[in-house]
Amino acid sequence: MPVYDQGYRRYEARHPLRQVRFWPIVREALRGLFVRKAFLALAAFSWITFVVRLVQVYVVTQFPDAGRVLPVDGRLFGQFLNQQGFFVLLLTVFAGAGLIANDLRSGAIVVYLSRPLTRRDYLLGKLGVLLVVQLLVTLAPALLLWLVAAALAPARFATWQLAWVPPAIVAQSLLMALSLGLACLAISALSRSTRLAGLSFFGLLMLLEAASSILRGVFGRPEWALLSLPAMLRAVGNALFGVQERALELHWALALGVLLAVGAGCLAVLRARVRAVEIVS
Amino acid sequence: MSAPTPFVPGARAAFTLGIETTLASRRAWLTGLLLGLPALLAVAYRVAAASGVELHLTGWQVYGDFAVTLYWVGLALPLVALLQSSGYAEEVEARTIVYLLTRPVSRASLLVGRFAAYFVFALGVTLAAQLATFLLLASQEGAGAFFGRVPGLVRDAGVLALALLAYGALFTLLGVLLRRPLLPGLGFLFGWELLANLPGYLPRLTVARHLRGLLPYAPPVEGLFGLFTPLPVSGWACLLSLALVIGGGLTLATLVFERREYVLPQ
Amino acid sequence: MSATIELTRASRWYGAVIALNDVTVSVPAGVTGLLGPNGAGKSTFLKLAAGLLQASQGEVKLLGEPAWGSPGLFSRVGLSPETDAFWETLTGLQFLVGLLRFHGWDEAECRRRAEAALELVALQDARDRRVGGYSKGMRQRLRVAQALAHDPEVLLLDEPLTGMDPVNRRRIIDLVRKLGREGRTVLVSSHILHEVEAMTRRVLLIHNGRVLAEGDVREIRELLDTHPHTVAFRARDPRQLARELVGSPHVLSLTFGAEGEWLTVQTARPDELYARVPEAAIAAGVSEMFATDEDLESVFRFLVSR
Repeated sequence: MPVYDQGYRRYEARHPLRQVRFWPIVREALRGLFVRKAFLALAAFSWITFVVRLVQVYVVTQFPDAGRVLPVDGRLFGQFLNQQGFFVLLLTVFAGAGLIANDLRSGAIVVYLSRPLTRRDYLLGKLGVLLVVQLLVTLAPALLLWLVAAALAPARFATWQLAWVPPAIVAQSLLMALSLGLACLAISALSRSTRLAGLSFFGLLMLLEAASSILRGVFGRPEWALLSLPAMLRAVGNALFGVQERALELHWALALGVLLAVGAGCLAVLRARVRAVEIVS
Repeated sequence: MSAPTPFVPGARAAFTLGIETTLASRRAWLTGLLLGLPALLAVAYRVAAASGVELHLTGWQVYGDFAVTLYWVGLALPLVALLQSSGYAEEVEARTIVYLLTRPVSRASLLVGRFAAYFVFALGVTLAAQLATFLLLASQEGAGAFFGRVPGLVRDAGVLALALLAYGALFTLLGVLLRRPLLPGLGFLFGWELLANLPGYLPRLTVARHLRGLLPYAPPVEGLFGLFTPLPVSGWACLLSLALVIGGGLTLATLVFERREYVLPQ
Repeated sequence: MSATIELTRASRWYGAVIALNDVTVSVPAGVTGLLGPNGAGKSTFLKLAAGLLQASQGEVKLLGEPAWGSPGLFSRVGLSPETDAFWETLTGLQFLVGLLRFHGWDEAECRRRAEAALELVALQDARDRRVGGYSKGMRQRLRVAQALAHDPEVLLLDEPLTGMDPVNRRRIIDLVRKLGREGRTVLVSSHILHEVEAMTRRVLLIHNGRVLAEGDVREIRELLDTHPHTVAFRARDPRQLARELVGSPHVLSLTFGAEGEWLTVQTARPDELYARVPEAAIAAGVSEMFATDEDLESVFRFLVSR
């Protein structure tokens, strides 16, 4: 009769499962969001600009003379993404303000980090939620717009001349999502109140935006736009899509550098605040 | 019947507690930062002016057009009002409202006391920042011009107080009505209030139009809105409209708060 | 004894969920335990009694007045909520003084009462520390302190012993008993029978939003005697044991286990069964015996099914 060892063996997760440990966090948060009518209404409302642009694309491709007033080329996608910036901001506040603040308030962060889940997995999960939400109103409609344009006027859009547009849409959408997502998560990690985190995020962006425009007005130098996250994102987007904006003559490389530095700062805040221990003062 | 604590002592207790919790909170820092920014910019302006840097705007333009009209009235005060005065939603979120609702005071006195705490705190910070900004920027063109502008300082202070009261009353109403007033509040500020820039009578439905109607400054408006010239509104009409917003907002908020049940999240 | 808290056909729904279902009950002065498992409706009962919630149907009176919409009552009532929430940046003393000001007393009186309340719950040494830095047990005691700082006639305590260490648990139990002896009405909720028994003999049993029983805890225990107990036996010959027991009038049912070793007996008089077992056990070769349901949950189930 065989005698078996009564020892304990750890459960070895399948390889793909180990790689996507953050996914349950994303999935559950999205499930929670997609049952909220206010979120669905806001997300649907964010597609209004898509409908307007769709009409523009249709009219210009069917009546090319209209293109003199409303040009349809790569710039259209840059302007579209710039317009989506406000909705991205609102959706980020909606979905992101409480992502970490709620866990800090309820103590759920300790529960998360006592699972086979690293801090990186936790943050990836939380960031993943925001990426999905944001890309839903930037990447998805912009690519759809491009597909419609390519279907309606293949000679114009489905050519090597405009082949750079889809990768540019992906790059700009990701840059917007990552910058705003990391900033929102960092502020969420500094508070235990969703409301305070949301208003701090929004208020701080608006405050810096206002300071940036006052200082640009006073000193007449475009570099003051570096204070404004939306302005920096527009500067990079404008360079990618060839959009000319008189009020914003900031060099894209400078803007991108500052955006990367801001992202690194946000990661440092998240690293300091997202811990499996509670520091009691 | 057991009599509740009279209205005034009840409201005073709510006021004191409101001030204590505000002063010790991170909200106070955020409020200070939001409201004090023009004063910091004014310091930068004077330093730059003293260093001989070329400046494209006068100190008075920066004070009136940018700091008072665009920044405080157009952005910072509404945001601070949303942050501070919709506090009942935060009490519900933090589940501390149970302590307030089990005190022997009428809910009206609770609401008025907390509103007064928000107003006094926010106004104190605003006026300090306004005075500092005014002193730094209005004195740039010499003593004669400075003293001539002092009455304007008082008028602006009044308008800033009205802005805090009007937006505060509206967001107090939103805070007692809704569990999550943040996004509707932002939607109101950055959606509805933009109507103030349109032509015709529509701007009269906004708070911003009536506040701007009391100010003499004409800040530059960027983009499409710059094409429109709003119809003028008399100062008295603005004051009356704002009084209606403040009185109506607070009365409705009190009525809702007195009848509302707060089922706390478990 | 006259009733301090009276619920008459009171029901409360949260949307489609019924938390309290057609409850009619009176709570007199003294300590009463509100006993029930989690989700039974204890907190809703307390919130209705405190006037924090309005009954969807029926009537709730506190000290003879409607509980809902009578803010003046809160000068005579103290509620210690279950929720662990505070203005975290205030100190313990600031927290209590801030709440006492609502009673209209001057600053010195508020401070005196706050300090006395902190002493009652042994928090005087932590009075100047921020509440955010309090341990779970200290926060629980502070919740109790704010409920009794204004010297109320009625105290509603929602799970007041949760998170406390044994010393402070004892302290709060003694405090509750003392308040009861002073003639105050103290309604304490708990889901742990021995916790409630330590504070009072009068209990209200609540389950699935209904009051199942009320009275002395001994009466509840007597109910247990008529409660059909289930006893399982493991025996070499369970059928032999069944033959021995089947003639007894107190045996209500006999069930054989699937593996042929077990016999489950349901009896209305467990004491008589236990008296008879030793004799029968020898013949049947009983090797194991245990009662399957002598816990609070089974009592609730029994009372529900009556």
